[in-house]
Order: sequence, then C-alpha cells, then structure tokens
Amino acid sequence: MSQILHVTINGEQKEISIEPDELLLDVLRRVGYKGVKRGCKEGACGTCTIILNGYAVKSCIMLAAQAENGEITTIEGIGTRDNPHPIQQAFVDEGVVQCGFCIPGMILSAKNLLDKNPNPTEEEISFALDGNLCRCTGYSGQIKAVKAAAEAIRGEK
Amino acid sequence: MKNVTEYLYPSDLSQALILYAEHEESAYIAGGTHLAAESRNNTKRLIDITRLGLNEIIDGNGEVQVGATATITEMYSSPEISKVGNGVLKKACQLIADTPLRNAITLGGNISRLYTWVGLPVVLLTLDAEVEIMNLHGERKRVPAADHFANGGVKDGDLILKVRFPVRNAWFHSYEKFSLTTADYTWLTIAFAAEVKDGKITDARLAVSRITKATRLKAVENALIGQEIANIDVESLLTVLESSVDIVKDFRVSKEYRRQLLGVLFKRMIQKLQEETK
Amino acid sequence: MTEKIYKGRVVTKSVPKKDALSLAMGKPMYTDDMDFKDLLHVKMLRSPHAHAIIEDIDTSEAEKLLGVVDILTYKNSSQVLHTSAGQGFPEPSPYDTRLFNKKVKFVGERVAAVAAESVKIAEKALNLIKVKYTILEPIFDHDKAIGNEVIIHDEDESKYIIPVFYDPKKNHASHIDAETGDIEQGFAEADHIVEKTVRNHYGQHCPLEPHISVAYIDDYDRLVVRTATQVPFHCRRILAQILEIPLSQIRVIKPRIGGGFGTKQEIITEPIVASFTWKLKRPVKFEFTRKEEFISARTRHPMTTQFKAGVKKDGTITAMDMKVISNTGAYGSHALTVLSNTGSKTLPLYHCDNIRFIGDTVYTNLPVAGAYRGYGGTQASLAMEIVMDDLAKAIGMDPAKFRLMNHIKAGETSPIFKALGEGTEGVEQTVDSVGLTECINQGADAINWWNREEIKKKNSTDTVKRGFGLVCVMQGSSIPDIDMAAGYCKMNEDGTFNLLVGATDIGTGSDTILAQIFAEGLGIDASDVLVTSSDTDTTPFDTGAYASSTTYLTGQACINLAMKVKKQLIDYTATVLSVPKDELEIKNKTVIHKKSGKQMTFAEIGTKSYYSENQTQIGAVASELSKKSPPPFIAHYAEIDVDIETGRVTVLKYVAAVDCGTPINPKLVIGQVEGALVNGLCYALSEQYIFNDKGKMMNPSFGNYKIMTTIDLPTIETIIVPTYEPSGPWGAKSVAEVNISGPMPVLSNAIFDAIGIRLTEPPYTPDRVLKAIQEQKK
Repeated sequence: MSQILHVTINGEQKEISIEPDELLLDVLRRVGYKGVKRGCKEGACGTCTIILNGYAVKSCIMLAAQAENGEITTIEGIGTRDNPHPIQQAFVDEGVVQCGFCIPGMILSAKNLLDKNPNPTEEEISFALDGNLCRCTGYSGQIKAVKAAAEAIRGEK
Repeated sequence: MKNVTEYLYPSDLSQALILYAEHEESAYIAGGTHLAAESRNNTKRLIDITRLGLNEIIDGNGEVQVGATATITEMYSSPEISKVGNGVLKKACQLIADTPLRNAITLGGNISRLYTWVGLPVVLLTLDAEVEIMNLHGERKRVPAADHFANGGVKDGDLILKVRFPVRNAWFHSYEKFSLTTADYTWLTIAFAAEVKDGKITDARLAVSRITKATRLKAVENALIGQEIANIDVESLLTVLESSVDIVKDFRVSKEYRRQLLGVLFKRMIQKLQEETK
Repeated sequence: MTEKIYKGRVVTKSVPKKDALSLAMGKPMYTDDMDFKDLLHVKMLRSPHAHAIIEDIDTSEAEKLLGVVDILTYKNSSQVLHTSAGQGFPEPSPYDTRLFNKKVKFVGERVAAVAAESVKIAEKALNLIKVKYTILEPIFDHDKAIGNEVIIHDEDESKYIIPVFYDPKKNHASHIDAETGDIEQGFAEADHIVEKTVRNHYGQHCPLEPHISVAYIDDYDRLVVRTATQVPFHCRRILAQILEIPLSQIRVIKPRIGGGFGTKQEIITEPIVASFTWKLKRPVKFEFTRKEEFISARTRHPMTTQFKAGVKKDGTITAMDMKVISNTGAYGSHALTVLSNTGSKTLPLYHCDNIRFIGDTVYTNLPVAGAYRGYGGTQASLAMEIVMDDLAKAIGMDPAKFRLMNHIKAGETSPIFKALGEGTEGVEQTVDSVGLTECINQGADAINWWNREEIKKKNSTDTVKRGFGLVCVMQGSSIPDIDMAAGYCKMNEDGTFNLLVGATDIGTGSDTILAQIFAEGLGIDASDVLVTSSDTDTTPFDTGAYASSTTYLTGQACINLAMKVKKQLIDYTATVLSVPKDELEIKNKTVIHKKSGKQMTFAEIGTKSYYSENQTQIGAVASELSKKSPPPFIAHYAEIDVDIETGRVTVLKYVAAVDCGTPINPKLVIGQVEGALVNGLCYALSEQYIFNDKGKMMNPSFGNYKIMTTIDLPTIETIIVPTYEPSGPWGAKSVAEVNISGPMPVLSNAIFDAIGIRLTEPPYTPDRVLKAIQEQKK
C-alpha cells in the first residue's frame, strides 16, 4: 500500500509517494538525489550515508518510511560550486577525491562530526569516518582533510 | 522486508500495542538496521516505536535507565552512561559496528533478539541489568537480564521499554570484543566484573557471546568467589572456563582458536583486575 | 642516482583534480546516475554448483510472470567463444568463455539472465526458473589440477588465438619457461641456498561501485553502452565479436567510474545488457550486487610460488629459480600474462646472471581470476622478498645493506626483460632511472631502521613482540611494443584547449595528469585544458587503464600533441605577423617575436584563427607506441607488534619510499601510493575468501570480507624520491600498481623479525599466526 512520505530534504519540504518496503536509499535516488550511492546494500560500505535528523545514517538499511517528518541532508544540500562546504573544499585541496564514489558519504560523516565537535582530535575523526569504506586513498589524506576543514570552519585557516 | 505492506506510526504506547495485536504478522521497528536488510521475513505490518519518547536516558538512585529506542550513539555520548560500571557500558557502545550504524542501532534492537554478534548483552549480564518489558496486554514486568537472555529474548508482542543499569562503580569491570578488523562482526565478546573486598573476590560476573549465545559462565564465577586477588589460581580457573563453554561453529575461525582466545582474554582480564586492585 | 630531476611549471605541482569538486558535490556522473525511460533491469541466475552439466533449463514459468520481458540462457544467446579479459587484439588469454554454458564450472557462473520491468520482478523470476543439473566432481586444489582426472574444459573448442602452449584436457591454461645463464652452475657457486614455497590467497578488488552497465539504442539505431569499464575500446571490439554485429554499430561511453583496480578490465556485464538491448531495442541495466562482485567478477590469481636462490658470502646472488603454479579459476582470464608478469616484474630487481622461471597456470572450479593491481608482481614479490631476507640472514648481512648492494642500478639491464614478455618474448631494455638506493636509505631513516634492535628491546614484553621489516618491489610502465595511446586536441577561440583522450580515468586522476602534461608542453595552465575521456565515438584509441600505462604512455602522446600544436602556433603566428618562424618563441601563453616586439596571445590566435585571418583549426592528433616499460621502484618498511598469545599482528608504522620518476602531481601520487599500500595491508592481514567444501564462497559481503576502515590504520609515511626517466613524459614513470605488492612480504619479514617464525601463507590473521607460533613450538 503506497503512502506519502513527508520529509524535508536539503531544506525543501517534500511529499513523496513511497511503498512501505522501499529503502530510503532507493527513494532518494529515484527522486533525483544521485549523490547518495549504492555500493553494497548491506549497511557496510557507507556510500549511501546521509544525515537524518542530525545524525549520519546508512540509507540502504533503512526504510524510507522511517524518515517520516524527518529532516534529511544529502551531499547535494551542503555546498555549491561557488560556495562549497569547507569539507568539500578541503577534500579537493588535499587531493583525496579519487574515484569519488565513497566521497559523498564520507563528507557527510565528517559533517556529522564537525557539526557536533568543531575541534576534533585525529582519533575522533577516524572514529567518525569508520563507517565509510574507501578503496582508493588509504584514508590518511581524508583524515587530514577533515582536520583542515575543521580549522577552516573555526576560522583558523 | 520484501513483504511489508504497511508502515504505521502509533501516537502512544497503547496504540502501538493495539496495532500490533490487530495483525498476525506485525513487528516493531526502531533503528531497523537488521529488519531492512532481512529478506527472509514474513512481516507485513511494521510499527514505528521511535516516536513514543522511549529514548530517554535517566540517572537515578544508583542506576541509569536507558529507553529502548535510545541509539548506541546517544548512549555513547551520554555522561550518564559513562558512569555505569566505570565506563564499561560506554566501551561496549564504542565497539558496536560503526558510526552511522551506531546512529541507527538502538538499545532495544540490540537485545530483543538473540543475535550472538551484538555487543550489549554481555554487559547487561555482568551488570545485572534489568529489562523492562510491556506485553500485549499493557502489563509491565522487570526481567533480570540473565532471565531475558536465557528465555530467548522478547516473546511475540513483547515490547522492551527500557533497561535499568546498576551503576556498580565499586566493582571492577572489563569488556573485550575481539574481531578481525575493528568494525568486524565479533569473533568473541567477553565481559567480566568482580567485587573485591579486603583483597578477596566476593562476587563475580563473567559473560561471553558469539562463541555461544550470550550467557553467564556461572561455574567460573563461583570458582572466582573467595579467591585472594594476590593469589588467583588462573590455571584452574582456565580449566573451569574451558569446560563451561560449548563453542558454536563459526565459518570464519576455528573452535580451537577461539577456545584459546577465550582463555587468553580471560587471563588478561584477571591480570588487569590484579593490577587495578593492587 | 640519476642526476637530473625535473622541476616543472605545471607538472610536479599538486593542481586540483579536475573532477574532484564535482564528485565532492555528488554530481550525477557515474553510470547509474542517468535516468532512462522504460529501463529494463537484469538479474542473473547463477550456478549453485562448482561443476555441473545443465541437463535442462525451463524458463516458461518465469516468462509468464507479469513484467518479465526476456530471459537469456545458453539456448537462445550468443555462443561465440571469447575471452572476457579485455585485452588488446589478438588477446593473450584463451578463448574459453561463452555468455552462457551448458556446463557450469564454478559456483556463481551465469546460468540465465532475466530482463524485467523492475528489479523486484527480475528477482522473483529467478526463483521460477527450473534448472536440472548433473553434478560433476570438482577440482579445487590448484597444486593438483594439472593432469587431474577431473577435466574442466573438456568441450574441445577452447583455444588461444596466438601461438602459445595450451592443454585444456589437462586443466593446463598456460605454461612459460625461460632461462638465462646457467642455473646449475649458479647454485654450485653459492655458499648458501635458500628455498621457500609461498602461497597467496584469493582476494577481490572491491571497487566501491560494483560492475554496472546500461545499454540503449540511440537515434541512429546504434547500440550505446554506458559502462563502468577500464577499457572502452576493447569493450567495443569484444561486444562486436560476441554480438556478431559491425563494430561501427556500437558506441561505448565511460562516464566517471567508482574504482576498478583491474576488475573493470573484464567484459562481463556489458555483453548481457548489449544482448538484451540489441534484441529488445529498449534500455537495459545490469548492476552487480556486492555478492556478485565477490563470486563472479574477478579475483587475484592465487599461486603457489617456489623460489630458490643462492648467495655467496660476499652477498653476490648467484642463482634465482622461480617456479609458479597459478590458479586462474574456471576461466583463463589473464592466465598467461599474469603468470609471465610474476617473473618479469620481480626477477630483474636484483643482480643475477643465472635465472630460471617456470610457470604454469591451471584451471580449477573456483571463482575466475583476472587482472588485479600488481598483476603477478604481488604474488611473486611475496616469495622473492622473503627469500632475500633469508639470504641476507644466511650471510649475516643487514637486509637493507643486502638490497642496497644487489638492486639493479641505472644504466643496467636484466636478461629477464627480453626473456619474459606478455606471454611471448619480451623487449630488451636498460633501466635508466633507479632511485631505489635513496628509497632504501630514506625509508630506513623514517622508520628508524638502524636503531631497530634498541626499539625492539624497549617495546617488547613477554607477550607482545616488536618487529621491523623491509622489502623492495618494482613494476613496469605500460606493455612495450604492444600498448598504443592517442589523444586529440583543438584550440578554442579563447586560447584554451580541448584534450580528448581514450585513456580511462577510473578515479586515478589521469584526466588531470594528462592535462598537466599537455599544459606543461604548451606553457599553459592545467585549467586551460578541458579534458574529455573516454568515448569510442569521440575520443581516439587508448588501450585503457591497465598495466600502469596511462601517465607514462598516454602522457607521452600528450607531449607529442603539445609539440605538434606548438609548431602550428608558431607557423600561424609567423604567417599572420609576417616574421620568420625561427625567431619566434612562446612565453606566458603568447607567441613573441622579440626583435620586432610583435606578439600574439593564444587567445588572439584562437580568435583570429577562427574568424578573421588565415582561418584554420589549430589542433592535432598524436599517439605513442610504448618502446619500453621503465620500472618504478619502492622500498617499504613496517614496524609491527605481534601478540604471541592471540596471534594478532598490529602494524604501528608503515613507510613507503617511492621512485616513480617525476611525480607529475605529488598529491595524486601520494593517493596512489597510500591507496595501494592500504589495499595491500588489508589483503595481507584481513581479506580472504572462505570456501566450503563445495567451492562456495561463504563470505561474499563487506560484512564478512574485511577491509580496513579509518580506525584500523597504522601511521603511514610516504616519501617521494624523484628521479628522471628519459623515456617518460617530463621524466615520469608509473605509480599505480607497485605499492600494493609491498605489505604481504614486508609483514612476513617483520613477523619473522619479531618472533623468528616465517609465515608464507597469508593472510596473517590472528588464528593463522597463532597456529604458526604453536607449530613452531612443537
């Protein structure tokens, strides 16, 4: 039985017709948020990470219906070409976007951290990114990038 | 979740119970991390229990009460939780899955079914936590964690409301999850707690999971009680330990290895106890 | 040491990767990010048996299901024998593969493909297909495969299309032997001989984006395949072959790719969507699940490598003898060439006159192996670097000093270059850039190698032992005499350039690297170069993203392009300004005639050449055929702890010192180095295929096939040691593959250093390490 999902995505209120068994990942991609990636569909790789009600979550192991009345942020909602989010900019500057497939999820995990903790230690960054697999970079550069982004957000850079 | 045809949002607890009772193939959903990935499941009606205010963490009277829909992250970052068992509960939370999963996984989900890989049951056991459950008739009961797990987790229609964790900071507590990578499914999870008075162990809890269903190893606990900290007979304890667990098959790693690992981790916990109570 | 180091204006600078911001913004750039109307979805029924004959397959019930549009099986699909290996033509891999076979040869082999209106319907249909199998005895042990009574490819037709050894009736997919000098004499001269047999394991590439292809018919009724491939041109050729349609009817487009590492060199999803679309004239999509990625994409070739070497007391290596049995699984993708590379990418590393290599690739009823970053070098380096350590130990020399003494130096050659090519004879070459001495020395300082005994003593306890390890590894850069790459460029009226390359940026950053190389040649900025890659209709040919070739080879093609355009710019300016050509120079995007003070900026040339004076299109096409394959060199060091009670190996610090010639873009170089070495660390420590006794992989998921995340990392230090490779673009060599091969041997060496036990069968999981410790005690 189809139902209407009431949800705010990147600040825009939406009413989306969904099936009760549809995954949030599938719904988001269906309505055009292609920055939400599908890498494993088992909750392991983290490429589908979004922010829901202030927490980074894996949208491939959630039903869309769980997001009812929720606020979602996807990668499309955090920066523009002219005004990228500091984390996006730091990832570019540090040269840590390789194939890019893990990047939206990783950036949102990083944002989830920095929104709550603007001055994280390296260990806290590692811990916050531990749900996002990357096969290209070896992670160290991304940890550095999050650190640089935190400095930028704090206005130290 | 291929068969789900309804997803409902009760406005209060009693409505949740009614919605559940109405349909034979109902299930409660909170974090949903396991349900969403599950394909061999007949559930048709899902009842969302995350909007019923069941996620409160309350500090009171020597115990911390944690609502069933509190996420692992909420627990991990709660100052109340870090008080429990000298931080043992917080450590257990830290070692569950990974950050975006901890943001979704709830306390209730972690203990409602007896999945052996989940992280919290062993600490519930070593802390003598109590699980507060509401049945379909709206009756509340408080079930000791040991009974809860021994009885196979929740019964059909039962809804976990909260868990009461005794703070129990006077005890020694230790927790280990041994896995291939940090975020891997555990190979062996073990929690140990001991009460020491006048250089002697006066009470003890030891619980393991994954190598078997989450369970207390009472034979070892009994063997510990009365031992002098300075002269714990580790060798004979290890013999008791070995005979008190029937290790289940795990296609990833042999029984023989996990048998040895269990001994090593336990021995190290004893050593830590000795160091900390010196 | 090479004297010359290239300091560029645009190259050697970490300019931002061209697509980085767009990717960081989540722009819809990958295969699956484009929506198609009336798209059909494919799901594949796969064999549950390792070895069986399909007696009957009944799809009638599935066809009746509403929304099922078509089903392909061996009965109604192309039966063209081909190889999925995605190599140049004629391929050096056996033609032993069909889209669907009557005989299935591994758990996960294609049995039937369903195209339906939705994924759900397609999945449902799979359950309605009835297949009757006669189960055959399988063979899993590659050491026992040759001449076994179980014969995997007994259908008679499989063959190579090049003249090489092939004996499928004996499960024997390839054989190579090569000998230089006198191996017996060499061993006779040795004071010490060390022999080790090592076995590496199955491993998967794990690109975060699984294999995915979408096919559709365009407005000219041609077949367009938008696909996650490393080899668009080979893909087009192989699709024409399988579908038996003219190549001109096919266009292959590579959008952004979510990682490849070798597995997307394979042509495995494309023929399925192409077959459906060509028949149904509807868009069709096929995306692997993660499980399919593990069981039915490609893996690293597991091998048994026996390596024996002799050494004199003074450290001279007198003989090296390598015998390899490689397991290609059920099909022979890259069977021959991975095998030859096990020798050719390792044996030239150290001075030795007497070398023998004997290699055999065998079929088994296990998942299909293929190209994987490192390509044989990874496997053989394990044997080689373990033995090098043991040789040094045998004569009481420090392993670093032993390697410093023996490693190949600039200006030298190895007989192996000629003896071992891509399954056939190779190409003689001298190596002209070798920074390995510096790599070993700088790496040693970074890890505190010379003080290691003190550090070990200080940090070891009764149960946890500290250890240090070192290895050296080489690779190549392109396949000499075979690989060709090309580019086009055209000038725009504002003085910028479009650069169109067939080279396949799969996340490596090659679009950016090539823009830098081209820009350097013309004195413009990387941002003045607009790169398009790769589309078989609009970009020129390139072999693709494999064999560590893009920077070295396509890069050289881009220099050739720049030189051609430079000449045109000068010719054009000379004509327009009426000055002699040889008095013109190019500076700051301007062609200048110093004597007269006349000049034309590139923008002026661009505009005038379009609209107002001697109108012409300034632009060029250029290509490059590889003439040699200069090796990049690395020294890897690891500092580890071994817990002797749990068997846990913890890597504390890892140092990679890397000679890749001129680092075109240092930050992207570091990304390649660290990405490869972390991949190698995971392979060495935690990645493994667990099979049951029926040949079924038990852990085909990221949940149970473990790759590290951020919290598992050691401290990593990358040291770039620049050298100048005379044959490379601005002195560059390759860097993509070589670093994956260090971790497996370096951890074996470090474990040995810590606890005196030699592990030869990775992964070094706690249970395996503990077992080795306990067996030693017995």
